[in-house]
Amino acid sequence: MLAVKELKAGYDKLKVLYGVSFEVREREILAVVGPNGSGKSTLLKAIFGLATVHGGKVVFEGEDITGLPPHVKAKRGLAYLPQIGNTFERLTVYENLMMAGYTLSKEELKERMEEVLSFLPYIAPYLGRKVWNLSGGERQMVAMAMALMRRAKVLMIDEPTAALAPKVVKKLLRKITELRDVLGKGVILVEQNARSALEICDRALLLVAGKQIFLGDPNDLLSDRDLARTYLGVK
Amino acid sequence: MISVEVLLDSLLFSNLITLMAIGLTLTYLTLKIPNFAHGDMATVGAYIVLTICRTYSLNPYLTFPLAFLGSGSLSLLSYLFVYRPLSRRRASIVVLMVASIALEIIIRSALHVYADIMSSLQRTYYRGLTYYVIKGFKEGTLKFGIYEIPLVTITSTLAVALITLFLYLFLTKTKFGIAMRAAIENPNLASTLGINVNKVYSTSWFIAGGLAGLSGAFLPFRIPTSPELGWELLLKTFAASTLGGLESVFGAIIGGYVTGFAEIMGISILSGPPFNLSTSYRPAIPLVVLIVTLLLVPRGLTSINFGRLIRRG
Repeated sequence: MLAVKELKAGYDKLKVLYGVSFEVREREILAVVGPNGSGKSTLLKAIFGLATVHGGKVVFEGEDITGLPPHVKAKRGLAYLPQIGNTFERLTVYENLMMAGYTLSKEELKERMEEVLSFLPYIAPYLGRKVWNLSGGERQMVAMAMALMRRAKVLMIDEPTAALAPKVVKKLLRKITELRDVLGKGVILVEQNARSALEICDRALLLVAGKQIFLGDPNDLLSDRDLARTYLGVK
Repeated sequence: MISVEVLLDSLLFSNLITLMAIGLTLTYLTLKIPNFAHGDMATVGAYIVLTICRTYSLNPYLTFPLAFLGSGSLSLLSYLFVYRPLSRRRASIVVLMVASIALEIIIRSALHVYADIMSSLQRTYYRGLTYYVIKGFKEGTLKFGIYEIPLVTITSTLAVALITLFLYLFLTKTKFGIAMRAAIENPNLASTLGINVNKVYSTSWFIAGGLAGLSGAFLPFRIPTSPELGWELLLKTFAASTLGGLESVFGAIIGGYVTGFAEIMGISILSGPPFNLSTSYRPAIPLVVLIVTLLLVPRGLTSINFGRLIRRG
């Protein structure tokens, strides 16, 4: 569904990524792991059009979308959920969902909202609350709901569990697996907490200093003692 | 002792400052620039009404919509042809601010040229004008018991009340109004959701200029209008917006009333016995209130959690 080919990217002249290639299919979670500053978040930004692409291609459903602006990519079915700034904090949860479905008709909006709330019932009681009053986990759920409102086919989620309580992390990761298993979405999950990401993903990509070190089965990565110990902090 | 007349004057002055402060806050929210040309939008509104009504001997209220449209359009043009291109070129806030000062001087100078041309065309001095130059103009009053309330105090209060209600309904109940709040808070996220941020910002600038124009249309009822008027009112408007926290339209309304009442009531108290001071320090009053308030509440009046204060009390 989404193919990244030899992607080189950064910010203006600064180079961060040096040729990254992978594919994400339907009903698949690809975990992107690696130490701090390895270019994980830049990878998502470059795919979505928020970082400078120096070379390579991003192909979505057979079409080269590398140079398209973010709002066009969003319309095509790609969703990017950054760690912060992924919701409108001064708006209520209901208004956030409404904005996510801004281009929909009234009937479609209502239908999709029901659909999304049945998948994420936790946020239903908070519909009238401003997002700034919600906890970190609840905000991530709202961001996820906004992506689902747009019927995104591939969700790129950047460090969703950062600074969350372990109980909330569990709940959130379960929901991410349901995105794949229940809704059939493709997910690219960037995670600092490598072990929990590798537990739920189908394939793993290890980035170190902007270079692709490993792509394949997460169990193979975990069983490679050198890689796991050096870069993922797994003993 | 504060007289009813002083209270009514304070209310009228506050209404005018509030209308301007709402607009200034709206423009600040979009591009985060202190728009120094905002005061001139009020002067333009005042001159639109003065010119038409003096030429055709009309009641000023009939031409108020034209003041809104004229100043709104000028504000929109300034956004489209000055601020937006600069902002797209990633101009810093300082650059945008200097551009707004330049634009202010250009508009003010153009108004001076306009006043000169109109003076020679209509053979009337076009500076220091009030609506009393309009043939047959008479300011109405309404009697409430022993008090006579000037009509302009009632109409301007009604205007602020209706605009507040309109803005509340527009920003919280309509899809476009909510999109406006969303685009102001996070333009990047808004554009990825298909919200036309440029359209939203253009609308904000039009409304902002329109409200300043409306405020300007009320001015010649009391204040002699000249091309310098908007510039003179600008600092008070900044004080009102800043008092309101700069990030909320409703904060600007509170700030407008605090500033307006502080100035008129302050001058009334200090110029009377036992102080008997001169009135030349008048412009300083709202600014003293601003500084004292910000020292106590650095993020403006809207950041005060009144609920918590009441519970504590």
